[in-house]
Amino acid sequence: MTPSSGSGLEVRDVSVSYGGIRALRDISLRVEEGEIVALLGSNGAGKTTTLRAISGLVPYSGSIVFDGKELRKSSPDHIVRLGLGHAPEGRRVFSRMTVLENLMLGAYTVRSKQEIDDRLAFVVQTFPRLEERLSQSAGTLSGGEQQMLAIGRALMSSPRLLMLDEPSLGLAPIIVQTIFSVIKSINERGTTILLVEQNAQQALRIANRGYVLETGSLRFEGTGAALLENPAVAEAYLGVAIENIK
Amino acid sequence: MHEFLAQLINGISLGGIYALIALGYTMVYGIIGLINFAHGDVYTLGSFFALTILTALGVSGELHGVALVVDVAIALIGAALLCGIAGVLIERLAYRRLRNAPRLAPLITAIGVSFILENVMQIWKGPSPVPFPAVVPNPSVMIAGVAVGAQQMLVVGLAVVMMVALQLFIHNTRLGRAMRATAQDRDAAQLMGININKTIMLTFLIGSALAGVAGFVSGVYYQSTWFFNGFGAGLKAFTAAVLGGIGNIGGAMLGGFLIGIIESFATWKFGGQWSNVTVFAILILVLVFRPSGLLGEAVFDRA
Ligand SMILES: Nc1ncnc2c1ncn2[C@@H]1O[C@H](COP(=O)(O)OP(=O)(O)O)[C@@H](O)[C@H]1O
Ligand SMILES: [Mg+2]
Repeated sequence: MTPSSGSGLEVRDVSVSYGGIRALRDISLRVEEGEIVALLGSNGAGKTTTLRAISGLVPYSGSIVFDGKELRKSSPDHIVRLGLGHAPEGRRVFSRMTVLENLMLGAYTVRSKQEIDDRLAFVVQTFPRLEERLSQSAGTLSGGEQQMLAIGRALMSSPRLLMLDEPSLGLAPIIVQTIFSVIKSINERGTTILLVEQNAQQALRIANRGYVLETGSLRFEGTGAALLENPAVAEAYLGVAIENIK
Repeated sequence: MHEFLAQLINGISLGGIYALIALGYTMVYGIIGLINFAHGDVYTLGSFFALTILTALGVSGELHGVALVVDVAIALIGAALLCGIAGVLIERLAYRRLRNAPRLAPLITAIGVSFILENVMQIWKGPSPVPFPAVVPNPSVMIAGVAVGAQQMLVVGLAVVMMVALQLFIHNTRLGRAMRATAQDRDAAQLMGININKTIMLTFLIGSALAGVAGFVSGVYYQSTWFFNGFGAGLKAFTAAVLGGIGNIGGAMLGGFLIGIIESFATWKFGGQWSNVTVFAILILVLVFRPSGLLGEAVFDRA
C-alpha cells in the first residue's frame, strides 16, 4: 500500500479563537510523509483544536497545506476526500448504530465495493475484536473496543495521513499497549500519523518527532529521543516517570 | 360495535395524513434540532400544487381507468416534488445561516416562514376554502360489517407505502446511513466525509415531499382545501411527533395514527368541539409520565 501521492502536512502560523478567547496562537508544525509525529501538551493546551482546524471543523487564520493543497477554504468532507483521516477525541462512534454500520460510514467516500471489502478485511485483521462484534451496536462496546472502532472507522477511507486524538485516554494499560503497537504497524504499512497524546512517554517512543503545546503556543519541538531527554520537557510533561526511561 | 369500527377506520385514515406530516417534523428535528413550524404550511402547499396540476390537466371530477391512474400519479408526484423543492428552498434561504445561532433564532424564523407561506397561499387561492375535485371514485367494500371507502384505503395505503419506503431508505442505503450519522453526531459525520449541507437538504426534501403527498391525499379525502389548513393539521402532526418521541421516525408514525384515532373517537363521543381538548389532554398526560414520548427521543432510530 504505497501512497499514490504526497501525504505531507504543513501548518503555518495558525490561530484559532473561541468567542474572543485565543485557543491557538500562531502555531506552525509539519508532518513529513511516512512519519509519526506526536503533538503533546497538558489538558487545554490546544491539541484538539489543532486537529479540528486541520480537519476544517473550526475556522482559523494562517495556512494549512496538505499534499500541496491549501485546506483553509475546504469543507471537512472535502478534506477527508483528500486523504486525511481523523479519529476524534472521545472516540465519537455512532453509538446507536452497529459496528459494521460505523465502519461502512468510515468508507462513505469510497465508491468501489471491492475496495470497501478490502478495507474491511484489513480493519478486522488489525482489530480482530471488532470482527466478532460487527452486528452489535457500537454503544455496547467497551472503551477499548470503541477506540479500536474509532481508529478502524478512520482507516476505512484509506487515509494517507491519519490523525489520532488521545487514543489511549481512559484505557487499561494492556489495551494501551495494543493501541500503540497498532499505530506503529499502521505507520509501517505506509500511513503518515499525527498523534495527539497526554501519554507523552509512550507517544514519543514510537514518534519520529514531537511538538509540545502550552496554552495555545508551541514550546518545544524535536525528535522523540531529544524531547524525552530534554529536562525542561521531562519535568513539565513526563512527570516522575522520566526515571523509568533511563 | 359497528359504529366503533367505523370510527376506528375514520381515525386511521385521518391518522395516516397526520403521520405523513409528522415524519417531516421529526426528521428535521432529528437532524438539526429545529421545530419547523412552517412544515404544516408545506402540507397545505401540497394540496394547492395538486389542485393546480389537476386543473391544468383539465380534471374537474371523478376519473376512471387509465386517466385515473395517470392523472393521480402526475398530481401526486408533482405535489411531492414541488413541496420537496419548497422545503429545500426554505432550508437554504431561511434556516441554514442560523444553524449555529441560539435555538430561539431559527424557531422564530420558522414561525415567520409559516406566516409568509400562509399569506402567499391566501393571495394565490383566496381567503376562503376552495373545492378540490373528487378525482378518486369512492365505492366501498364491506369489512367486518363496516363500509370502507376506496378513498380511505388510498389514504392509508399511500401512508403505509411511504413509511415503509422511508424506513428502507434510512436503514439500508448509504445516504440513509449518512442521515442517521448526521443526526447522531454532526462533527463525527463530517469526519466520515459526509457533506452535511447536502444531507440536511435531503432531509428537508424527503420530509417536505411526504407533506406534499399528505396534501394531495387530504384534498382527495376532504374534497376541499384552504390556505390556513396547515395551521391546525401541522399542530396535530407536531403533537403526534412529540407523542411518539420527537426525532423518532417510528414514533411519528405511531403518534400520527394515535392522534387520528383519538380525534375521531373524541368527536364521536364528546362532539367535534372537544376533539382538540381531548388530543392535547392526552398529549399532556403522556408527557407527564413519559417526557420523551412513547418510543423515546431515539434520534433516527429503528421503530
Ligand atoms: N468549543 C469550545 N468553546 C470554547 N472554548 C473551547 C472550545 N473548545 C476548546 N476550548 C478551549 O480552548 C482551549 C484548548 O482546548 P483543546 O484544544 O480542547 O485542548 P486539548 O485538546 O489540548 O486539551 C482550552 O482552553 C479550552 O477550554
Ligand atoms: Mg483534547
